[in-house]
Amino acid sequence: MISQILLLVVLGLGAVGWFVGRARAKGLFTGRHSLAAVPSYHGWHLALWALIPALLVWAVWSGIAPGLVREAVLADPAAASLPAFDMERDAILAEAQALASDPGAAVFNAKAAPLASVFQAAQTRIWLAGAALTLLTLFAGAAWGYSRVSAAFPARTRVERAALIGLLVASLVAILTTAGIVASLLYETGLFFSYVSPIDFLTGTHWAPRVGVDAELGKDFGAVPLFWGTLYIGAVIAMLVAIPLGLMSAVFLTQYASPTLRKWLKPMLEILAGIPTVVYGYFAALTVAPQVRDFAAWMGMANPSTESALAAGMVMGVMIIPFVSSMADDSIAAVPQAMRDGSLAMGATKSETIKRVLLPAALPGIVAGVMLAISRAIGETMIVVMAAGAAARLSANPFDSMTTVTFQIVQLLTGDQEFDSAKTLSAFALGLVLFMVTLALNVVALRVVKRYREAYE
Amino acid sequence: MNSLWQEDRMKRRLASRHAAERRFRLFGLGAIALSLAFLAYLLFTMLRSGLGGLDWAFLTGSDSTEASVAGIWGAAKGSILTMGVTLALSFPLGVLAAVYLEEFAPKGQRWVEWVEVSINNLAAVPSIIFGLLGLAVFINTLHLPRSSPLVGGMTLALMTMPVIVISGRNALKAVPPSIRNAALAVGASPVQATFHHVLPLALPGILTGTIIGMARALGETAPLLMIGMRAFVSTPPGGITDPSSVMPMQIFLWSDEIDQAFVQNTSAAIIVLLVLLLAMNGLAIYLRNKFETRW
Repeated sequence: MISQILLLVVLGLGAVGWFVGRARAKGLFTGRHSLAAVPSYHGWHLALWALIPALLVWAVWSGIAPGLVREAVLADPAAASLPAFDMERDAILAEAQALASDPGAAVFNAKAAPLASVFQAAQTRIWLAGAALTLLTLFAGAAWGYSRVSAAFPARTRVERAALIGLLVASLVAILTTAGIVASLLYETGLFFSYVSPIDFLTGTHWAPRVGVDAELGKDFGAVPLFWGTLYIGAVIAMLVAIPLGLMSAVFLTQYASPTLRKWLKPMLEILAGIPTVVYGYFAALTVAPQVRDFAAWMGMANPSTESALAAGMVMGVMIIPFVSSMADDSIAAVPQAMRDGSLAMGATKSETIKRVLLPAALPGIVAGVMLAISRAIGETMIVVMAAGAAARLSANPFDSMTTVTFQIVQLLTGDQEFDSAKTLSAFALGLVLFMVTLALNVVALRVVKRYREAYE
Repeated sequence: MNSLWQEDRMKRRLASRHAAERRFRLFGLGAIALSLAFLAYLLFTMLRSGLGGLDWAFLTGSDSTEASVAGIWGAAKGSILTMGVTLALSFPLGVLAAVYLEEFAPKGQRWVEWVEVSINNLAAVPSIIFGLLGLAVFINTLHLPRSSPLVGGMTLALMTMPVIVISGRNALKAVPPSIRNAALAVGASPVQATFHHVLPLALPGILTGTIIGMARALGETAPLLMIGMRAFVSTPPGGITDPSSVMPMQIFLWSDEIDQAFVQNTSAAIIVLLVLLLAMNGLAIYLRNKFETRW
């Protein structure tokens, strides 16, 4: 509550600072060329000086305040009876905190109740102190900014420098995100490998993750069946659906369809890419999977399972069609017109030109597109979670239930678990493998596309 | 004179080549028709099983263990709050990063290349990886409230930002240099030329990209599953730190229910979500057509 009000007050004061700075600069105006910067830049300069230090102080205070509150509560005589340094004390403190913010909260530990009021008092005190400090910084910054307003002061260059720094920081967020992904995955994977050796993990064929710390643990964390299931569903079944349909759609749209037809068909095809994956997953589980099961039963299979690799892979393939189609579209369009004209002039029919000239010439681009499509398919989560099943098995039968890397990540991390067991940590190891593989596919594919474009330009 | 073209052998050959041509063409048409038939079948299935459940009570109710009283509003409000956080973070960051990379970044510097490479790669990273990042950083390290729109929005913002940066750069690239040069020639500073002239002209393109990125984020489930946004919310969340659910997650949770009555709810929720997504994409196309300038 305090923070919302404070934020509004700080922003309001910043706006006031803008007007004050501008008004003061206007007061200095005596004629053409009497000011080094337009008055509104003086306003910005003052507002930035008021806002940035104050917001920084508040951010830092928000970071350390919970610790300070805790210290204050522990220093209170009412906390003297708490057991020293253990889980129970933390639990009591957490309950007291919940009670302080919401008097109706359920309490399991009798010792928490008397602490609630202490907690509340300490919280109010510390947060008010932080608010006061923030406002003090704001006024100090504003005073400094105000003192800088003068006719010769180059306010515009200063403000623009600040703006450039802001732009730079924004573009660094991308690097920070990548670094954050790599660092967090590597860190948790490192913890996992302290329980299970990487060799067991990458080459074992038995997957039955469990909690525990014994020598046999590594035997139950063999991820090969997961990699197999992922590739079988994402790179085989899905591609068997997506490549022919996507490629032929692209050929039809670029070579045969009239511009009007293309204008209508292409956006309709793109709708397939815009449908959320959870909808595909539901459709796969509700409609496609039972039909696949019935088909398997009709083929004479005994007890076909409802969840099958085929159902998940087929629906995933349909999802990827527009992606393959637009990649193929681009690479066919990049083939020089002269090659097509040459072939047609020799008397080849349109389809012969496409099969013998266009597609071979566009092949590198199409292959790159397929690689990108595979990277997308193996990272796809919801369809396999809802339709592929949980059984980790090495099987080539598409009617079998199969599990994938993404399914297991979801399985391992939903529900309440301890975050330091090999079982939950293995999800991060799987995540790291997935990240590396998709990254490699993307980097190679983009390089192929780039080289191929250069070859024709 | 009996030309080669009148020989039976040649006629047969030509006929078979033309038949192959027609077959190929039909094959292409069949591929696209099959894809669209699948789409139609999907939409038809959802409409058939969901349309009956789509009434006012469903649109205004929240989740419940009773299928007949369960509604979508609780999850929809969670989605709105989450999207608000995502937009508030990813739009300014994405636009500013795009402006920097396109207009100010020193060309050929090693670290600028790193930024570009990491943005392009982030756009292709599977969404579940962003969920792992959110879990490891926002929840396990920063101890932000689990299941809250705040954490969900932050996670999705990281995912949406590269989309906005890429579309933003393309939009900025499309503004002709003459605009920039004209502003600079009458004495504007580079920052003024960018913010007063180039950016406003690029804004429709950036907005289109933003809406498409937001539509993707709205339909996203996997990363939110990682950060635990699967709370059972019988009352709509009041703020961005309350436990909540989002619409795709509600669909996922309902699809797991054993009770057959939830099939109708799930399909009805899917209809609502698809209508919203369609509206967003329609808006993006409208904006592009209305404001797109051919230079």
